[in-house]
This record gives sequence, C-alpha cells and structure tokens, in this order.
Amino acid sequence: MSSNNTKVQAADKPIVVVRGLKKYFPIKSSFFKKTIGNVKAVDNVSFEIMPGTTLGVVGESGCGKTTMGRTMLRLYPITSGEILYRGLSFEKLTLPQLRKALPEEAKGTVKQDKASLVAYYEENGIDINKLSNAALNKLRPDIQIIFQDPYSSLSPRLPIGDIIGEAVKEHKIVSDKEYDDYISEIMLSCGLQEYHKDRYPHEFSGGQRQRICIARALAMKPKLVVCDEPVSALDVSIQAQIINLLKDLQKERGLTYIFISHDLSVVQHISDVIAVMYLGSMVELASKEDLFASPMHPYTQALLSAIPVPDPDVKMNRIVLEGDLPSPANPPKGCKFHTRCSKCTERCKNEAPAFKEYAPGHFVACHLYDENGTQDEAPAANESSETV
Amino acid sequence: MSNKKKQNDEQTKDTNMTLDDAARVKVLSPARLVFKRFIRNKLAIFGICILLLLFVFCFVGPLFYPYSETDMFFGWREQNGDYAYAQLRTEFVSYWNPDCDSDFKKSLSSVERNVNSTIKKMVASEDPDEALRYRIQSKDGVYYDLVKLSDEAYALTDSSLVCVADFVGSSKQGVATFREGYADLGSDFSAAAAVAIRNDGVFEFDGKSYSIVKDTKGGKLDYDIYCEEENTSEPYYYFVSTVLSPAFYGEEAYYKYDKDSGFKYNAYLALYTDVEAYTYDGVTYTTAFEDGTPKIRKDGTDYAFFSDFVASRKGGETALDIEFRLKLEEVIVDMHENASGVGTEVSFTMLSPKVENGKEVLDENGDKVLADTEYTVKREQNDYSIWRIDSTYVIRIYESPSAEHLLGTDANGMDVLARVMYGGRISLLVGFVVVFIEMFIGIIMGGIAGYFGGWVDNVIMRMVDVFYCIPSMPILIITGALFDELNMNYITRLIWMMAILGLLGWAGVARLVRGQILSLREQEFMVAAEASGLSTRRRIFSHLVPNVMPQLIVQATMGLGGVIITESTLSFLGLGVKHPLATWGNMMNNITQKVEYLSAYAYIWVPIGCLICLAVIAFNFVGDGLRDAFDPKMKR
Repeated sequence: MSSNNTKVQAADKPIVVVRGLKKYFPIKSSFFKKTIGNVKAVDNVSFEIMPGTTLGVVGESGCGKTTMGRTMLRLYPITSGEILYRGLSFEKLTLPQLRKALPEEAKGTVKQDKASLVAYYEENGIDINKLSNAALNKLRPDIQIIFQDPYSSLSPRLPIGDIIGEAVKEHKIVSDKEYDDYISEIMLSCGLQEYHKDRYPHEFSGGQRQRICIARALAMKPKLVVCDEPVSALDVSIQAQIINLLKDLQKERGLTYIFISHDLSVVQHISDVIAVMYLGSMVELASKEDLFASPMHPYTQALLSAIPVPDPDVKMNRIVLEGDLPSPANPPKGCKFHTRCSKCTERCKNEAPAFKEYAPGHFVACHLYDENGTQDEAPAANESSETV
Repeated sequence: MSNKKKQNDEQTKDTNMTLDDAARVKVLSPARLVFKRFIRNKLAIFGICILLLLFVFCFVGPLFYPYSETDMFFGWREQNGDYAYAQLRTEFVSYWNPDCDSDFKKSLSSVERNVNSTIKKMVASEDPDEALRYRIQSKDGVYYDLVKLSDEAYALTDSSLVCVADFVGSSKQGVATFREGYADLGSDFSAAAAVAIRNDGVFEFDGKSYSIVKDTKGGKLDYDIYCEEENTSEPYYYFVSTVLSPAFYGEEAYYKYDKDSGFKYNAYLALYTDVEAYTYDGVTYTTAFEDGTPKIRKDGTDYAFFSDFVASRKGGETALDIEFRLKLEEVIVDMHENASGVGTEVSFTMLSPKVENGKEVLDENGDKVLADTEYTVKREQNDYSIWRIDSTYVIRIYESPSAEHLLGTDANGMDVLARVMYGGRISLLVGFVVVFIEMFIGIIMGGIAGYFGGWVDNVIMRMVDVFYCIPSMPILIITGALFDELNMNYITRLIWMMAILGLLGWAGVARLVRGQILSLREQEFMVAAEASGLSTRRRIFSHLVPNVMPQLIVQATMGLGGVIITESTLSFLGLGVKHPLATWGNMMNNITQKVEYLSAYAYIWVPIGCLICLAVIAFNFVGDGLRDAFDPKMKR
C-alpha cells in the first residue's frame, strides 16, 4: 500500500533483472579439500520481472529452482552473474555502501553524492553481489522469502509474535508504539488470530505455520517475495487458501512474487509469467497464456502433457520422458535436455542452444526453432496442450 | 465462592456457544508456560523442595545455630590417666654445697660425673681404707677425697694429700719452691727431690714421705711435690652424693623445697654427719632416724623423710599425698621383693580426695571429700607407673550426639552439625562456581566453534580433544600436592581448586554447544533469520541460544551434582578444601583413621553422606524437570 506511489513511475521498468546468473557448488575431495568439480545448480540464467507481477518457476526436483530463489537473495554466495534490483530502499544505505556497489563503467559518469547515486540505482538497478553484508542486511526487508517447509523454517523456541516481529524491530519497520498493532494487523491479514502471538510454532497446523511464514515475510513490507514452494507441503484445500491469500496480498500491496513450484496447476493459477527450468538452466520463459497455449520447448510440452485432467472422458496424450535427470555435476554436452528429448537431432548433442525470444515475450532455448529448424512443429505441440 | 462459580459457569456457557479458539485455550506467557510445566513434574518439585531445604539449612541455619564452623569444645573427662611415677633409685645424685661457686663446680664436673663409678669401685675395694675414703684427681690435677658417710650417702671433700712445693728446673739443678703456708726445708730437700725425680718419684725427708707428680700444664716442665698432711680442721664438703630423695609432709614444704638442692645438701649432710640440729633458710631443723628411716623435723613435727624410693605426680608439678606415697612405697617394695616381672600390675584402693572436673571436691566446710579410689601400679623395668580414673581436661573429640551437640563432635572436637551447615555452603558454592566457569568457557568456545565453523572450529575442537584426554584425577591430585608444597592459604586454595575444576570441565559443554549449534545453523529458520537481515548477535542470542538452552540446563544441573561429588572426593582425600574450612568431603575424613570408626561414628558420616546424596539427586531431578519444561514438544 505504502509503496504504491513510488512504484508508479518505476512500473515500466523491471524490478529485478537477472543476467547470466550462475551458482556452482564445489565438489571437494574428501582428504585434501581440493575442488574436483562443480555442481552447476544454476547455470547461466537470465530473466526480468516487472513490478506487481508474478514469475512462476517450474521444473522437476533438483533442477535448481530453490537454489535460484535463494541465490536471488544472496543466501548462497553468487558464483557469477548480475542480479540488479530497482526500487529498493536505497536511502537506508550510507554513502560508502552506495559507492561500493557502483559498477566500474559508471564510476566516471555518476556524481558521488547520495542523491545522484540513489537516482542511478533507481534507474539501472543495484547489483546485490556488490553489496557488503551490512549493506545487504539493510536492504533485505525489501526482498523476502517464504520457505518450502513451514515446520523447519520456524524457530521452535520463539513465540509467533517474536518470530514475525523480531526483524520488524531490528529494521525499525514501524515505530515502537505501533509495533503491537502492526503485528496484530499483519497476522490478521494473513489469517492468523491476535492471540496466537504468544504461542509456539508446534501448536499450529501446517497451514497456519505457512501463514506465519508469510506473515513474517510480509511484515517487512517487502517489494519482492520469493515463494519457494510455499504450498508443496500442504494438502490441496489449504494450498488453495494459501495461494488465494498470496494473490489477495499481492493485489492489496502491489507485491512482486517469484513463485517456485513443481506443480503446474498452482503456477498457472498464480503466475503472470512462467519460467521452465531444466538442470539449472531456463529452457522456456513466457506469459502464462502463451506458455499454456503454445509450449515450444519439448520439455515444457512434456510437462504440460502430464497435468492430470479431472475428467475421465478425456483421453490424455502424455509425452513420457525416458530416463532420469542427469547429474548437474556433469551435465550432458550440447543441449542439456537432449538425452531425454524425443526430437533430439545431431546438432542438439553438440551445440548448446541459445535462450532466444522467438515470439514477443516468449523465450525458448531449443534448436528446433532456430533459423534452420521448422516452426511448423509448434502447432503440433499446441494441439496436445489445448486438450488440457 | 459459590457466586464466583456461578459466574464462571455462565461465562463458560456463553463462550461454549461460539467455540472460539481464544476461549478454549488459555494462553500463558512463555515463562509461565515453562513454570507451569515445571511444577507439574512431581520429581522436579521434590528436587526443588530438597534444594530449598538444603539452602535454608546451609545458608540460614548457621545464623540461628549457636556454634561456628571452627569452635572447638574442651571439657573434663573421667578417664584412666597416668597419676604418678615411681622409681627405686640405685644411681647416686649429687647435691652441691650452696657455697660453691659455678666456676668451681665446672672444674669438678668430671668428678661429679664419675661419682657413680667411683662409688662402685669403693664398694668393690678390698682395702678398708679405700672403701671409706677414695682419692680422685680432678682435671686440674688437684686431689679430692670421696668420703663414705653411710651406705646411702657419700660426700666429696679436700684430700689429705696436698701439694707443698713445686720443683722447677731440670732434675740436676732444679730447686723446690714451697707454697704458701709450708716452711722451706732448704736445698737438701731439693736435692732429695731431684734424686726422686730421677728414680721412682717417692722419697722420704725428715720423717715424712713425699711423692712427685709430673706436671706439664702450661707447656713448661714442672714437678709438684705432694705430702700426706694430717687434716685437723673440720672437713669441707663440696657435694653430697646420695640415692635418697625426700618426701615432704605437706604440700607447702614440697612446693618450697622439692627443687631446692641446697636444702637437700644440708639435710643429707646433717643426717649423715650426726648433726642433731642445723639451720637452713633461717629455719632450724632437727634430724632423726625412725626405724632406720632418716627424717628431719621442724619444731618437733615431721617435716620430711628420705628414702631411695622416688615418687612424683605426673608432670612433677603437684605434690604427692604423703599417705599415698607411703602406701605406694609399701606396694612397690612388696613387688620388688616378690621379684615381679616387667609388666606386672598391682591394684590397691585407698581413700583419696575426690576429684571432679579437674578440682578436688570440697564439702560445705571447705574440707576435701574423700572417696575410695583404685590405683593400679605397673612395673616397667625399674620404673613404676601408677594410674587411676582421673578427670582430664581434653578436647571433646568424637562425642556422641547429645542435646548440646545434636550430631556430636568430630575428630577436632568441633560441632558436627555446625560444620555440616558451613560445609554445605562451601560444597554448594564450589558446585555453582565451577559449573558457572565450565558453562562460561564452554558456551563461548562451543558457540564460536559451531557458529563460525571452518578452521576456528577445527582449532577449538582440537583443544577440546586435548582437554578431554587430560586425566582429571591425576591432575587434581598433583595440583593438590602442589598447593600443599606452596603452603597455600586455604581460601586461595579453594579459589584455585574451583578454577582448575572449571578449566578441566568446559570441554564437555563446548562439545555439546558446538554440536547443537552446528545442527541448528543448518536449519531453515536460521536461513530465514538471515533472510530477514537479522544481525549476527541477534541470530545467536534469539535463535541459537534458546534452542541450546535445555541441553545446557540439563548439562549444568547434572554438572552441579558431579562437581559436588568431585569436590567431596578431593576433600575426602585431603587434596581439596582444607581444614579449618569445612566441606562435606573433608568431614568424611574424620572417620578414616580406623575401620572401627565407620561403625562407631556413624553419626558423623551418615548425615553427610545423606546430604551429598540428596543434593546430587535433587540437582538431577531439577535438571530433568527443567529440560522437560523448556521443551515445548513435551506434552506432559
């Protein structure tokens, strides 16, 4: 609500721009602790999110969705790439902290005072990889995360009021006077009761716990919330409650979500734009409508074909993928998907496809749609998904 | 009350309809929740009660107890004690003439020392003259005569052989120089002497016989010429040597003269030189022999008698009752005649002043109350020791429980109950301080290792490993010995002991904390805390610490019990807290001298043992109770 005004002029610019994000986890030999390889959990991912929208990220287990979500908050150190945020509370940072994050090429052109630096970052975004820990801590309230497991993400020895409120106190989101009312208000808006404040997490059901997690994230008045499979641990009826709650809150507060899930129907329900990930890379990125109407990547097509239809009369035309997800420590050469792709060509085995925009706002990484590939294949895939 | 109940019923009726969550569950603050869970645990309440009682007992109890930690209790005890010593004297003891000056005594000391052997020679001598008068030469070369006065007394007097002249020069040309008081006999005498020197040293001149003794004193050759002179004057005695010793009639005389050798000299001399009356110290005494026993009288009454039987009170400071002495002499002479062997005991009973609490009991007229007392005489070689039941002023050790000392007294005559109270203070204090030190170091080290990980973790954990493999008992024993060596003040020692115990114990705490934090650090709520941008301090203190708390509390309370036991063990072995500070451990030491003490002085160790047990059990109960109360997952 409060951030709506400032967001108006920035609405035409993406709140976050990710360029070539990589997150490798080193594999160390047991004895000498020498790095003998890398698990490429996130490998060269780029995308943008417009403020007030939801980016759904789907993919099977182990494809790097969660890692990507956490890396976006720099909960894991970033291996390489840029994550540029706009519209954060840059004014909280001190001048040295602002200067430190300035990219090399801008150093000559931007005036070294606070106002112009803030203006520069509003325009071009700030790379969170360049911030010091202290500076990042100041910006953290603006980028929040909701965890997958509502059981382990709440400290068992803190009462709910403290869990939700401790960071509010730490960052002085509201004054001490308003604090109690503010926490109550947040709890109410997330479907919790005021008297829950003094209870401990173990006294709550899974759904209530997830609400607590949401309340904790929202109490910080964030601009962007990474929802890391927030509903996968819950049963379907509660999933709906939580999803609707998230949607309501988004409408109310103009939030931006990165919604990570392996459940396509949930993603379809909440997202504006959907990204499909496979083995650490993004294979397709399109608006919800585009993606469901005309999935282009064979992997997306396979995923969509697996959505169950609650109608016994409809004959499902499933594309069954063979084999397992290859090891991210040693991904296949060429197109990472070629080992399981039914339309695999010789080129796919040798050359990695580029992530290109083939239709407006529709990015795909597949050789099938390259200049010498055939566009005709797309409608064929369309048909199969239209039956959904 | 009933009104309130009704109101309550109405309220519940109203709220029952809405089935509101808020109405169903009463929400307690976290602290009250823990408290509520804690008081539901019966064992924990039991433990808390015991601990409270112990604390009141140890910290408040002494304020109301009349005795302090180090009060020692003395008292009279009727016990078999040495009463007197007796001896049949065979050795002669010399009593000097009070007129002799000390230089003279010194020059005659060798003579005095050899008096006993000389007397033996005299007794054995076949020459009747020698048996009565024996010639001794002192170191100075002067002759003295030991004169027999009687079988029991000998005296030293000037010899009749006197040096009349010195012969100076060679034997051919030498001249005899006469000493003062002797007439010069001229050159003929010198010539006769010179001849004698060349021969056997004996010559006669003018009807008298002379003997010559070579005198090399002073590095110059010289001859002394002696002549037997008729001594006509009253003999002068230097000392009297006798086997006798006096027994006085009445204490006054005893205290006055028992140590006075001048009195004795005069008495012996008078008795054996047949002097009927003499004066000493301004008092006139008369001598008498009654049935062969030498006596002296003063104003016609018996003052003292003499015999070769010596008897004295234990310590020799107080007088022996004359009747007792006579009776004793009778018994011992009897034993002597019967040739009773060493170790023989003979008992006799006689009326003696009654003694209670170290004082003779007096009746209303101020006279001594007499009572039958049994005396036992025991022969030890030539000595006899006499004992009887006597009241002795003693430290009241190992006294059984009484109204005065509820748990009796210990080996130092101190009140056991008072020391148990003060000892509890030290034992509990040591427990708390040591556990505090352990926790303080352990939490910091374990926390750093667990939270930061990496090489810091590695270094700290290797330190922990080192501390783990230090055998604590030998270390404590060695340091205990070191403290003894350094003669450390008992307070300093206590502080050092606590520090060392704490230093040896932190490793366990550190390992526990580190393990807990290591696992907690990877929990999602820690990631969530990081994502919320919480400071490191806050992450540690509001997320990690509360989660380690129950384990820490259990560790601390269990540790308390353990430390109390370790301290008790050390103090029991004499390596921990030292006297005069009391602890439960070193009080146990009271009963370790003999195996029988264990059963005989159960009133000392049983209460202490129970207290140690109770304290340790109570701490464990409370620890368990707290763990359950802190654990929100416990449904009890």
